[in-house]
Amino acid sequence: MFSPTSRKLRVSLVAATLATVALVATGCSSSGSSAVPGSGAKSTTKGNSLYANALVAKAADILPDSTMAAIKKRGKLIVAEALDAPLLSQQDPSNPNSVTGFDADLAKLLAIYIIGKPNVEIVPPASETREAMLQNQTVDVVFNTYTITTERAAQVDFAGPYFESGLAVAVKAGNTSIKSIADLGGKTVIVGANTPAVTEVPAQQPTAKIISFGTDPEAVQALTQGRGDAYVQDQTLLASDALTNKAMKVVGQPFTKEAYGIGLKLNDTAFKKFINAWLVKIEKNGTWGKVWKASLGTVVQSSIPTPPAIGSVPGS
Amino acid sequence: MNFVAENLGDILGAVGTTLVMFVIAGAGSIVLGVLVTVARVSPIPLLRWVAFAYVQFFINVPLLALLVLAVFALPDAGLLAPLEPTAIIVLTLYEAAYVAEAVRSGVNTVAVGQLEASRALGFTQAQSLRLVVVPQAVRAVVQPIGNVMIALVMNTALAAAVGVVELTSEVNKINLVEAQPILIFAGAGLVYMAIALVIGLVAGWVERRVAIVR
Repeated sequence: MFSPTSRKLRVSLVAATLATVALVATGCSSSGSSAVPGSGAKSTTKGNSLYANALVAKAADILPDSTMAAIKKRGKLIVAEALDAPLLSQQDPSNPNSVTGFDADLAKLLAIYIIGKPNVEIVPPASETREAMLQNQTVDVVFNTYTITTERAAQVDFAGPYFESGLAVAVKAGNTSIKSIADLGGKTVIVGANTPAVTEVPAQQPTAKIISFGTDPEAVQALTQGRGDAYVQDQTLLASDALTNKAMKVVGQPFTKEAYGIGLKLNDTAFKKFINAWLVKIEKNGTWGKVWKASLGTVVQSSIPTPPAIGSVPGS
Repeated sequence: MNFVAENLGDILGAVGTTLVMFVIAGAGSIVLGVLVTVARVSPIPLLRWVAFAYVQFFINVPLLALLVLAVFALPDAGLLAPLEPTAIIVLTLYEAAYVAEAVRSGVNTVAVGQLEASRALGFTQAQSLRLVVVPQAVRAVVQPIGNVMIALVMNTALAAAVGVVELTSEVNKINLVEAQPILIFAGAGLVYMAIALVIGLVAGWVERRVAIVR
């Protein structure tokens, strides 16, 4: 009885799935390349000159039996950092050994400071497991746009802040009705899962409907396909997205301040002091500015920002 | 444990979404899976081939890839469906392939003599499938289908990656603020475990009720 109808159904189903696969084969290649701004190669070369005369800690600074001594003995620094964050920590698709960006370069500089060589072992964190990875000592440090909050500071220690950024609003290029966070009441807002936007947008616009996507390219795709009215994300990331994708634009100024810290194991005061001292040194000698210019600075039309003062936010 | 009380409404809503996804996709995949099996054992070669291709496709492509395809590729083809229904449809299509494989092994438990007897009694092909083969095949594989249903509950978590606010996505959000990953994800794990346990027990109960004593 059901055979003739189910036959038709099955045939159209297979046709639909085949069409999907064909579509994605083309769709993915375009979105995949736009996720990686053309700054990778540049920052590598600049980065290399950075590493050549990078600061190395004095033997006296590496206290015996300290975390830094253990890292030096091991010969590599184990860092939790992303592999898919453009400008911050992005793996080169054609050369998996090259991971570049603001966080990645700073992590290598820290490795040089402790060990003398840029030996970094990367453990890509899910941002939901960073605290656990520090607590069970899977990693030494977390460089992962790790916003300092007092709740997190109860679980882990933060060195820094080493960078300050903020959330901004992006919309489709043709949209003229949304100009800032103030216009998002009642709208559908796309955010990155596990980014500060997940909590900041409802705090500022309780009537906004939030949908979250796992990665930035997915969120951009969702915005341009019209799944939401706006995309709220870190301003630098949005700037780099808008640079390569003409279908979207960034509107207004950042509406929050996010202070990023280097995540460390709780109560390792000596290690925290050591890293804070390193941050002050590289900020003073201009290395910090050079790292910024080679990564985040490639998409922002402004001079090198002033790094935030160490310990300037609650929780650091 | 404050944060559980503070977010209780959202957590319950998210558990509800997980359960709704499970119930609809579960029922849909059992129905679709049985239909696919029927096609697979039918006397029509094209139907058999299509059902085989269907099962192979959905068993060999990862669910996450299917979800991402459905959510991000279909809109480019002009088909923009809301997230939750999209995820439910993908889960249904995906799990149906596993249900079909389970039911197919059940079909093999039905003795050839039964089919011959039904033909001798004048049943049409469709009648002997509907009245003789499928009922016995499904009764033989209740527990395996229960296991597929348990896998389906776990698989609903993947919908979090494409923006559906279900249990995993909700606890992610809470963890973002509270920074207690071990506690929070262990808690969510217990909820999934409880759901799986209930399904397992129900499957065991149904199996005892419908088992054919030979």
